Amino acid sequence: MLNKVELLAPAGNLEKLKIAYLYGADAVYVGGKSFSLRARASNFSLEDIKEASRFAKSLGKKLYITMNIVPHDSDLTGLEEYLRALEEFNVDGIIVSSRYIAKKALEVAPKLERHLSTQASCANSMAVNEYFDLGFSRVVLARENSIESIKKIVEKAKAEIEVFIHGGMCVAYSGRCMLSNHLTNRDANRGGCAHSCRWNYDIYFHNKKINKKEYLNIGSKDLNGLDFIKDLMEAGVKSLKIEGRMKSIYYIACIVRMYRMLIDRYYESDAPLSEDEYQYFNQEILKAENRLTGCGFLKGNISINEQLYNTRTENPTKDFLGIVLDYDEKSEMVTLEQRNYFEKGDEVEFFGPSLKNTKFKLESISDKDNNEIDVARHPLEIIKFKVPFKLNKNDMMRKY
Amino acid sequence: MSLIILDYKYKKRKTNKEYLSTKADGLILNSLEFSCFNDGAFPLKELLKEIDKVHEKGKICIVNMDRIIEENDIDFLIFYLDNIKNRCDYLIYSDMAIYSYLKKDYFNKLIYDPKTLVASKEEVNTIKVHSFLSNELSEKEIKFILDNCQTTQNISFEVFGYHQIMYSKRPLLNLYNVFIEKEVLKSNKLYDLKEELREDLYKIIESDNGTYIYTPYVYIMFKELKEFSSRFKFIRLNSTFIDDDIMFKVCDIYKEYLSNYSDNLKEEIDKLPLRFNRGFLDKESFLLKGDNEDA
Repeated sequence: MLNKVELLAPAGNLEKLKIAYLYGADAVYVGGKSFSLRARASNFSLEDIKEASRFAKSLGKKLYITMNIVPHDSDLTGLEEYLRALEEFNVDGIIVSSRYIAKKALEVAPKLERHLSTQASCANSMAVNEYFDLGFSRVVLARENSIESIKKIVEKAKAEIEVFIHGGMCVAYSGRCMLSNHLTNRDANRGGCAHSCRWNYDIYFHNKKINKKEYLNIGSKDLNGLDFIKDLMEAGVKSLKIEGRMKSIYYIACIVRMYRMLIDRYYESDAPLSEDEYQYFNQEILKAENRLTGCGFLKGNISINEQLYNTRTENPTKDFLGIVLDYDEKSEMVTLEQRNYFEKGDEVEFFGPSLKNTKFKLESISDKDNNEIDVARHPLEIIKFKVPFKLNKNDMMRKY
Repeated sequence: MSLIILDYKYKKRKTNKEYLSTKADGLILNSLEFSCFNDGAFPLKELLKEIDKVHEKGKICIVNMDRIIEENDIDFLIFYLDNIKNRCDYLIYSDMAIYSYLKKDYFNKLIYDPKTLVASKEEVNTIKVHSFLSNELSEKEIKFILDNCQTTQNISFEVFGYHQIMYSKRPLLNLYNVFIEKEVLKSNKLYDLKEELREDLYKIIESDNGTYIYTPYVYIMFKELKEFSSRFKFIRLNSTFIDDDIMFKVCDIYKEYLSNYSDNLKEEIDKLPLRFNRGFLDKESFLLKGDNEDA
């Protein structure tokens, strides 16, 4: 049987956090309102963190708080109180790039595990072990590592190793990109990355424009680690991390559930995936993804398959139709909160943490007062209809 | 008072005697194997020979090894460090593998330059090792660090030159060639990058180690040195992409300024055929906080 590995998911708010746990994450990382990158990712207040931690503990799962800014002095106000509060709330650990924040955590909140952020671009075992000696129990490796390098690093590492398996990729070594600062005055190392690498650029040589039709794009496709999960588990990687604190609950549910199923499949059998299994997992990812993906550096060197060229990168999916609020087994009536337009006669698919993908045709739908309607067009509208199989709260409905 | 250190450009595998004759107190020899430098770096064998020549001229010799180290580099890295650790006076690094190997016996030779990560007095006090401050700091922030940190003698700053603002492992120019199915861009050749809605021309170059983007202007800190020079151990003049003749003039001007702080000398700098900018010295970048309005 393969090594036990932690599936670590992102969450931008409490709703997403609960979905991540329910759909199979062993641990979730969130950003507080202070000291965290992804500043627009609906960051958690201390009260939210307290509730998140309570929820995690009730499930026997872990919660980490990202504090991965590269701080300027003016950013450090309230640090000690913040760290003490996290410890008091039984948060499991913090993810940091600043050695000062890590040191302060050790002083005032020693029960918090200290994980080195990928912002530090750690890409070799000597550096990993140095950070371990400095008090970091876990190192999140640079996303530039291949599977072969990761295996070698894990073999020699004193610290636990965490590896990104899915989600957004920086084109640069994390922490070594100031494009956003210079193009927009927004500091990428302090939560303000404007994703300038995904913009369109012309290229000149001695004032002569070289590119004719096509812009020079330097942005990266998102990471999709499907092909490497077994290798990472065999290597002894401690934690597999999904990126995306700004992603929707639907994305988190789909991606976490897919990797949960995949990891559990490898726990049951370390045989390679059959073609049918592979296609199934791949399709599950495609149902959630609104951006193009590649395997990043995991296979080794980067090719154009990992780069974005002349592509609008965001294509918001309308596949997510609603989330189950309640199901009455006796009447077979589901109460659903609408998330995207659907109408009577649509073919849909339900899925959930313990529900396999199940196809269903919407023969009849009603509003919250049981008045029959033809379309569900209002976001968050309460819709009711009969479903002849058992559903659970937080199961989801999507287009088929 | 600060000592001036200048990036020594090695061209056509010959000693560049003009660099050895500048008024710089020290020269930075960029490692071909382990630095991000793109404009005349030394392979190990030549670097070792050149170290002696720098010392013969009575100058400090600093080896720059500021790239990210990968697992497959480790054996060669150790061989490399064993060869230079007793020969150079200082060693610039950004990867903790180098710190790890040299901290015990060569701590005082180490200079940490992670480009962006040292941005507060608390960080300086914590890491303890001699460090370059981030160039994305305002004058006010730099002053605060210098006034309040415990180890002012161990701080250095890059005061002049095109400043590296992105370091990617990806061969971005060659990948573009593959995308358009035509070889229009070459490695080790300097291009300008222009965002479609902006006018600035950022410098971009691809080497064997990845792709680098630099500021569209020459970053300059000058008059502030009247106050700061007693606090910076080294001030670095980065000669990347700048003609040697200009760099030698720049070196002369800075050297003279550190001796008399004559304001007229800034005019000499301004006459040079370069586009200057003070970067973030007069402005502060944002720390974004608060609630997200995204769905």
